Amino acid sequence: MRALLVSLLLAPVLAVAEDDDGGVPDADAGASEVDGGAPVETATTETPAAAEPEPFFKKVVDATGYGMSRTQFTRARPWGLVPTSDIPQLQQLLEFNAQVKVNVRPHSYFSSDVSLVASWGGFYRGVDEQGHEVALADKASPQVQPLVSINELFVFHEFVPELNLLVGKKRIVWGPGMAFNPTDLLNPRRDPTDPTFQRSGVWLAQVEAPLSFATFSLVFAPTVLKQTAGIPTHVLGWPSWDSRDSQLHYQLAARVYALVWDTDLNLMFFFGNRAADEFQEKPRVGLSFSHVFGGLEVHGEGLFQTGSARDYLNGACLTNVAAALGCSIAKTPFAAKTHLEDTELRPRVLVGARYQFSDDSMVSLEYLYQHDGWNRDHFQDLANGLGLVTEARGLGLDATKFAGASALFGGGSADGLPVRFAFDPRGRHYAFLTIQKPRLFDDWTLQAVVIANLRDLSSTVTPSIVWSATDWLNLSLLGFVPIPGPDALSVKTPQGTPITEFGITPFAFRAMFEARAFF
Amino acid sequence: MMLTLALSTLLTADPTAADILAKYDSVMGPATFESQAEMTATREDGTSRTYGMKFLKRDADKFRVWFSEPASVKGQEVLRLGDNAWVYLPNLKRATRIANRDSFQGGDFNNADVLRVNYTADYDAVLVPAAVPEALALELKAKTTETAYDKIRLTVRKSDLQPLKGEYFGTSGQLIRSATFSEHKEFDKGFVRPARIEMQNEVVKARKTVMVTKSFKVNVDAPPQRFMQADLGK
Repeated sequence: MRALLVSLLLAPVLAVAEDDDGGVPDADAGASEVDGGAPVETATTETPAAAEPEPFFKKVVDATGYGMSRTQFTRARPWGLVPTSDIPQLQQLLEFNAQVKVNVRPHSYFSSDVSLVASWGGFYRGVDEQGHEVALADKASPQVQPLVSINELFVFHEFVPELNLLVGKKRIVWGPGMAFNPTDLLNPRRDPTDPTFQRSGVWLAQVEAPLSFATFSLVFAPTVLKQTAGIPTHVLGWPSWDSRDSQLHYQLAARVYALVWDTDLNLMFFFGNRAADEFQEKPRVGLSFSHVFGGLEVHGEGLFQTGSARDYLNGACLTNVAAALGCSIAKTPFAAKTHLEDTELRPRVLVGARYQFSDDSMVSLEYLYQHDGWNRDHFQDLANGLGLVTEARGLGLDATKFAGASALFGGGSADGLPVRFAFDPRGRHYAFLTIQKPRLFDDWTLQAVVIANLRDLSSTVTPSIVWSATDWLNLSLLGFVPIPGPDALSVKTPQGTPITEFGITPFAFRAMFEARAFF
Repeated sequence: MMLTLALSTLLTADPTAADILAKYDSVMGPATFESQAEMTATREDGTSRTYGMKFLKRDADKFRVWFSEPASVKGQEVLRLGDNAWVYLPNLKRATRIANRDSFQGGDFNNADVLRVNYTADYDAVLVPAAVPEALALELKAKTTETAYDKIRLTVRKSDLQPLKGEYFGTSGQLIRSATFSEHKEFDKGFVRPARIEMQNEVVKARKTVMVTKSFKVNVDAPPQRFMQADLGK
């Protein structure tokens, strides 16, 4: 009888509850106490409030961004082997970034991430003919030019949930590597000491089919051949009035992603023609995986190709001044891409692990192997070349003007935001170690990044501390210190100067203060 | 009517541990829902940070979170698929895998508290005496070492099985967190759940995090594509 009474009383409630809760009832009840504490509030059956907030994802326009000021002091090493005449010792950079998303239609949106960058630099240092350090006049070096960095600017449309199209500039990264991505043949290279800074992508069109068992992506990225202040002017091919070759420059990329046995798997195929390198009609294959074991994430990423588009120094031209002069007269290049047409498989592979502690501290260790990287003999050629630079400087010659000089001094990314450190790994074996302790005293984050060449054990150490002063303001102090490896592992110039990869960095240290205000 | 009668008959008897656990899962993690919430984390020095976010859930273990506030984290996303989880950082422009037991956005909630509410799958439960009248209590023991907590003591209101309190223990048996569920209200067509959850850090007493649910809709359209890694950042 009691059961019948209860059923009659609860019938309306149960009818609703069956729909939503699988038959387990929701009902109001009086106040109760927990652990002898304050009475728990009575559950109400109010209807949803009329002033319910509109879901933010349905907003027509959504904007965010930041203003950033970076003051940087670099102690140039004019007494070193690499010229410093283009390095401002004092640099001030201002960036205004706006990220706008406009929902055009229910399944279409426009997105942009654009930065305006203004900078000033001065206090250049060099050496005079006697080799003494001198101040140089301020100049408009490439590092201090104002620019517009269109990091991303694209339109996205979803035809059906299983098929979408993206056209514009976008950074698409498929590989799981933290400090370096061997399979990233599209984007400007990241700064491994601050991977969050470089957000610039490339102009592309992507068709993607996210299916239940796998995601298929197809990307066509025409190469930007020339740009002015960050705005592309020549894309895909050179125009007839500025013709440098008659080829089309592009990268095609296809990717299949699947989550198999709780592991992210990517299979990539690339076909490019003089895109970011000199390869012509070049097929390449990429593979990657990522898996989490408890707090440990393990990943791997490999690019498999034949040949190499890397510059190798012509050792025969660098043995002494006479040989160099002979090569110069005979127009024999000091550096050439001698392995461009090789048929030997030359993989680039990165493997790494990242452990996240219970307090969210993180240690990440990655190893990069580049089959086409320079070996000790190649670095000896570099040492010989740098020795000749020293002699040329004594003769009043500017070695940076020599053909092949870029192979001697290295180069960085020319697109996107000005990175703190342009990483261009020339060797074969590298290690990347990142240690991060967030939320120290709640708002402080300590981080150290070490990049080491494992052949000569030279390295760069980048300590940083970030204070999240408020919800909208981050203040950062960063250092950047190149450390030469031990003499025993170095190669020597003819003058006996030890050379290691990071030991010849053209500055002794770099320190910077950064303030970033979000809106 | 017969089903209603049968269920109501069952109600007159004390529910089993499995009933309570199923009810908890259905209230805190219904099969499909979309909600908006605000999370305020109070730190040791008394200052606090507030985060705005939107949740979308499908099936037992597919979860997506979009952060909208504050400006420094706007655009961050989290995706959970079963035991796998990824975070999308707009400054990195890519998705990175994260472990299940990471804390949720630096607050006192755990990712598993927010992104995975499936106690039936994760824990074995037994009824234990409740410390207060008009309440029922469960002791939950983790089925595997992959769970966020080794043991949970869950107190629910006897009348409707709505959660009132949770106590969360680590492997050493130490009480790590305690949650108070309050302001139970009907969000959507008979769907009642607590609008406010206060998670007290029992290790560092000055720390606590409050999650206030602003809106909660069940049985929403949640296409499977929203729960794919490739969708992060789009």
